[in-house]
Amino acid sequence: MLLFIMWLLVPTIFSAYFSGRLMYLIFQNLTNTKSLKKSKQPFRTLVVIGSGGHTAEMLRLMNSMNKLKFMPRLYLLADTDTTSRNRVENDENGLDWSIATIPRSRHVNQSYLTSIFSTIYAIFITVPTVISFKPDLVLCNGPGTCVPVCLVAFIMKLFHYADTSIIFVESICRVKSLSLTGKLMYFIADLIIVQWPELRKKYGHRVKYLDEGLNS
Amino acid sequence: MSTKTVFVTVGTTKFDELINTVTDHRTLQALKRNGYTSMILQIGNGSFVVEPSDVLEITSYKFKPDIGPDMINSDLIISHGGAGSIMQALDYGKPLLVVINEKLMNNHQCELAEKLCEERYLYYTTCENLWNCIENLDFSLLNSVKVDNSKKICKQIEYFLKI
Repeated sequence: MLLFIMWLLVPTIFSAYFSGRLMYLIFQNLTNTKSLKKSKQPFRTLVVIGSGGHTAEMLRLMNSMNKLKFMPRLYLLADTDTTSRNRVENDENGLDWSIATIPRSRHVNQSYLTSIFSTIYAIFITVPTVISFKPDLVLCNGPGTCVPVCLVAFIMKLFHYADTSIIFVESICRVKSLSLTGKLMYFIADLIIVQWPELRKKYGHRVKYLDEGLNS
Repeated sequence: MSTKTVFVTVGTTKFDELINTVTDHRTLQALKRNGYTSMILQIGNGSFVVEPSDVLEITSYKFKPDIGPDMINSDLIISHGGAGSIMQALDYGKPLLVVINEKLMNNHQCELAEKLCEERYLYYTTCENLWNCIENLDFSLLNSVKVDNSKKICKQIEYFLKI
């Protein structure tokens, strides 16, 4: 009898707790009320590299960051993207960094049906990489690759495994509306930075326009 | 006589209309009047065959792994509306004329060109008005400051992380 009650109660309590926590986290994100404790340094940083213009933008950003505060850095990129790999290797001039690759979730011209499977496969490969790195910070700027990565980071937070901050920087080529990735990140990112005032106006306090709110 | 080169890029797909217009006699004449002596075309997957001209020295290729050197060595870049090409050209601080592909409407890429034009980083036009723009626009009025928000974004990130 007692066992039966336990069998009913334990999953209920767990699911109630985690769905509550899920809502709490999303609410915190949407209202920007998350505040970090005085955090330990340096930050274990996971940088999601996209392709083409996204890669260039992200590397430019990385180069103006104080790399001593963001260590170690793990660059995550698609296994087929050798151009981006070369660019990371050329541009990264700091210490304590590495590259990990994940399979591309959809190749050009791949059919939608098979791309469902390859996406699932990509997520399976992503999970252990992200979990074992246990980042304090996930930094991404747009390509689809960053969605599974950020989801994994978000779930890690949900289960109290890690307190990861997810920061999404919308690409400069988005002027009037957030990209599809940006819209998804609206719910799971801790901080969204946009590069045009129009976006700030459209999405309100949820997004930050460059260095808005900071003096000098 | 010093050489002045114009570099034309259509990106990873094709934009035959641009290649067609840019190699048009009227456009070439306009370029020549502005002191240009040669033209390099990156034509992508287009089917357009470039014919030699007696006005400008024209060379063309389909793709290159890195078009950076061609951009650096040019004095004017005429580009399609792709964000990658636009940002790359502005990174090198080159005068840039973006030609919007009107057949790709509802394309958010022309938003970027429009916006950057408002801020005087580049000019943009359509194929139809291309020669007119080359004739009349003063590229020295363009803002040559790089579009680089990295420092500000960094600040926001560091503020958020309290470091």
